Amino acid sequence: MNTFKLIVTTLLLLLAGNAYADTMASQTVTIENAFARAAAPGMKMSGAFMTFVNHSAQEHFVVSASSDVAKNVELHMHVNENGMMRMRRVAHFHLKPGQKKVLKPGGLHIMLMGLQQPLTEGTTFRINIQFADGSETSVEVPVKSISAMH
Amino acid sequence: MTEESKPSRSSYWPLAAIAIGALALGILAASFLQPVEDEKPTGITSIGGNFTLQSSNGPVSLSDLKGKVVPVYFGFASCPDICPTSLGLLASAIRQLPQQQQQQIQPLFISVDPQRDTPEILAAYANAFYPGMLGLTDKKEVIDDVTWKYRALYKIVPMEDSAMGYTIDHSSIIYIIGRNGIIQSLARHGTTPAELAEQLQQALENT
Repeated sequence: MNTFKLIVTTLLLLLAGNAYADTMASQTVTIENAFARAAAPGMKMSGAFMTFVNHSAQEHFVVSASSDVAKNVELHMHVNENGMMRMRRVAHFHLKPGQKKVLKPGGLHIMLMGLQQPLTEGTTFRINIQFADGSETSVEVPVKSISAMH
Repeated sequence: MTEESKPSRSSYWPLAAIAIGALALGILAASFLQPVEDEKPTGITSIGGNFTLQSSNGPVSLSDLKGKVVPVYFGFASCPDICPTSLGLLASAIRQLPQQQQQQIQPLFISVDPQRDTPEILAAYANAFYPGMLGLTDKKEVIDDVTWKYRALYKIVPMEDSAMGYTIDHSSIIYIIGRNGIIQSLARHGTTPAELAEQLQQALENT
């Protein structure tokens, strides 16, 4: 009987461990279609867009981002209020279980400020994404034209 | 009997009233039907007007550009999202037109952020969307005068939680000014390149 209990407990712990590993955002959230808009000479700011896919049954939050190309990287949103375009910083991007969260022009974006280098069309750079659970991932971002929509 | 059959003086009045009414209507109708004089400006005259702003090559006035169709957009260069989308839309609409018509169009980008956007930065910024697009700005008082004339709204909003320092809320409209210096139509946010190309073409044909 005791042996049986031990086996069950061990199995449960193993399962729990696995489940925990599976739900770390860095392992269950994938990033697709990343791109940034080229920055004209003299421009210190640009925006990056991408799609987060949360493959897990658990919600996740993108809480910050960073990159070598910019001094400051922030999470921003845009709203159109009766024709007035308002850009604001947001605390996080909420990724619901199974959700595909699309960052695109006119909505959410990752704001790159204090560019340390020009963003030239055709080049790539990396953005690191930090999640609320402390895990982190990194994505390669191709630079597209200054008016690229996707 | 004869007295009775003769219509009385007072019974003429309704007829007279109808005649006067008809005459009045006729005059009114004629005034509406009169052909519009050739010099009468075509377009939206309630807003808009001439302005002079600074480019990297010195001052530029709208009146300098008479004879060209001038699409104008108000925004700011560190806007990473809405402004590039609108200026990209404008550039692709112009590129949909035949080469000969493209040369008759002079797009303008007016920055409402003179604190960050110098005429030199704006020249590079505007050119990145469309070669020849002019980037203009000026002192706040001058900008405020132009935005008021065009009823373009903008508001500087401090962003204490952001490295941006401040952002600018703004309306997102492309004003299509005819060869006569008068606004012909407005392209609101969400207009497609094909729709905007059509608006530009109409401005080229009607002015």
